[in-house]
Amino acid sequence: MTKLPLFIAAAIILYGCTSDSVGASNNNDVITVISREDGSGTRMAFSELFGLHQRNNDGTISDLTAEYSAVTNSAAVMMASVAGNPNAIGYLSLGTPCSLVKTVSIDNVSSTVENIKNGSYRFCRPFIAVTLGEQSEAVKDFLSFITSEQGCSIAEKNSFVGINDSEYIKNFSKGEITVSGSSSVVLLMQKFKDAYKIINPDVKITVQQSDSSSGIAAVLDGVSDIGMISRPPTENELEKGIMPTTIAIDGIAVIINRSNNIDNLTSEQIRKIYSGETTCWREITAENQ
Amino acid sequence: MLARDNGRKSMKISDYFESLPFLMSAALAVAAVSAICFFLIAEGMPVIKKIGISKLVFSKSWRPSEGKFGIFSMILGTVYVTSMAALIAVPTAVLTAAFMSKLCPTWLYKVFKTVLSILSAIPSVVYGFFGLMTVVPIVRNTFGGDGTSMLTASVVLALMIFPTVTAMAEAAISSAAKENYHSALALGADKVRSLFFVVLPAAKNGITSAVALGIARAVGETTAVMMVSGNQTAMPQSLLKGIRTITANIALEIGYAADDHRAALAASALLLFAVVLSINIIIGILGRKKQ
Repeated sequence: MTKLPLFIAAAIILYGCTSDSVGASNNNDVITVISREDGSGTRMAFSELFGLHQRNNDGTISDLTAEYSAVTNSAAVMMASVAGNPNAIGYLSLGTPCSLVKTVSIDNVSSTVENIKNGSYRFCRPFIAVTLGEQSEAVKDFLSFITSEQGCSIAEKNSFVGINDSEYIKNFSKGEITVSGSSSVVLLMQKFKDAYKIINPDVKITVQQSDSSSGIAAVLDGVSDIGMISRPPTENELEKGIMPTTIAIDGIAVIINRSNNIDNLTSEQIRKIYSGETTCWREITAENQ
Repeated sequence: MLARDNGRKSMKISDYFESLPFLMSAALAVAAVSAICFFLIAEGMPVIKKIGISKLVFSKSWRPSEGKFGIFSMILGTVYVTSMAALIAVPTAVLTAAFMSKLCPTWLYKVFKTVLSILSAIPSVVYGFFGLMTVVPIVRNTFGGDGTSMLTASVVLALMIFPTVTAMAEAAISSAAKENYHSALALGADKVRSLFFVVLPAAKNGITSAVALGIARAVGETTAVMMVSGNQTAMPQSLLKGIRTITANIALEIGYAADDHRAALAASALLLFAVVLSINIIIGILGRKKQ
């Protein structure tokens, strides 16, 4: 019981410290930078498009994303973090539904399917289906459906830019197709599958979610017929006989908290935020005025 | 002992056949451990040889796309988060265990027991989600910073190991020195005094292995920590800055890793395996001491 006053004193000091920092956090506008993990398709595309990739003399590429930026491997965590943190900035695939956060326009161009199509929004990357060797009839038919007018309209309904470069002629093939790979592509592939099933119910399609590298590995091992990747295949992979087919174009949207009153960022501002040159929202607001 | 040996000698061949399913089930566990061990060594050894164990462990820079594989910041991250979680969870868990086993009425004991088993059955992704949606904003609004930090990860982790440590410590306390506790009471010591000076010292070994098991779980926890710790690869700077643990690093990057990157992740898994193995050996030694 003799220790009781000590505890009370400690409690008061602790309370004093915390209430101090409450005051400090009110005018805290340090940007919380959230990035995807090194090697993910979304991160590679983002770093490449916003000038965060630096080519070194020995041919390697350095990613200049600041070391202190938070990293997540899931679009859901990315979205929840940005939705809950007034100072956060992050990026997502445009096809990920995101009503909880605000999408900024970049260089005064908003990230819409329309703007990607007419070339004014240039922050996008291809979704690619890869196959190995001779394609089976069913695979050929499915891929030609995806890259036809019908496939294109499905992609656009889901905020992706579709590919429309072949005419799909209904072909009653039979067979089984296993598709696996990138989690970014899975949502769209599922939609393609559902639409294709109505036209061609005799082809059984299984869509499995893993990631780009595992998708390619599955195709090379013969486990999957089609691999979905959200990054370009590496030279090493192409040498092994991987055949890429672009199935859609995905925009990369930069997202901020809804309470943030910034609506537009320049690509240079985004580069500086991610490389750690800009650390406060105040600097951005000052520049924008 | 003698009787048991005699029994064994007189086992018939049919007895051996009867015990075969049991033997095979037990062998499965041994096979799994050896398979994991073999896989990790086969995957991780080449890169350890190539980079060197000291460079892997002590180099501070993790930039896999540039071929820099230093996991020192993540080792520190794991050590910090684990010890902070233990610091929060262990005293609370031991006091709870002591309360449950000696001080609380039976009906309340039942309530605690149920709540604890529910806590330990909650999947870690749920803990992570809870942490992300509630603990992260609280930390951000109270202390400033991003909210995803070493502190947040430690709090969530403490919550996760608390039921494990409590359950084991409670078992240890309940089984230890029942007579001595009553003797102390009879000698006039009050309940709290007898608890602290008679029961807890007697249950020391059991409590230590409970703590060790909690720490082993904390070291291995991945999903929940990954969701609330920010996962920065920079060296840990303060309680309110993010950190990345070794397990989170593996889980984050294995999906896209190829070649040396993949091998470096396997090497860090090997390291982790060695750490958890040594914790288990310590638990074993403590358990033997108890007998």
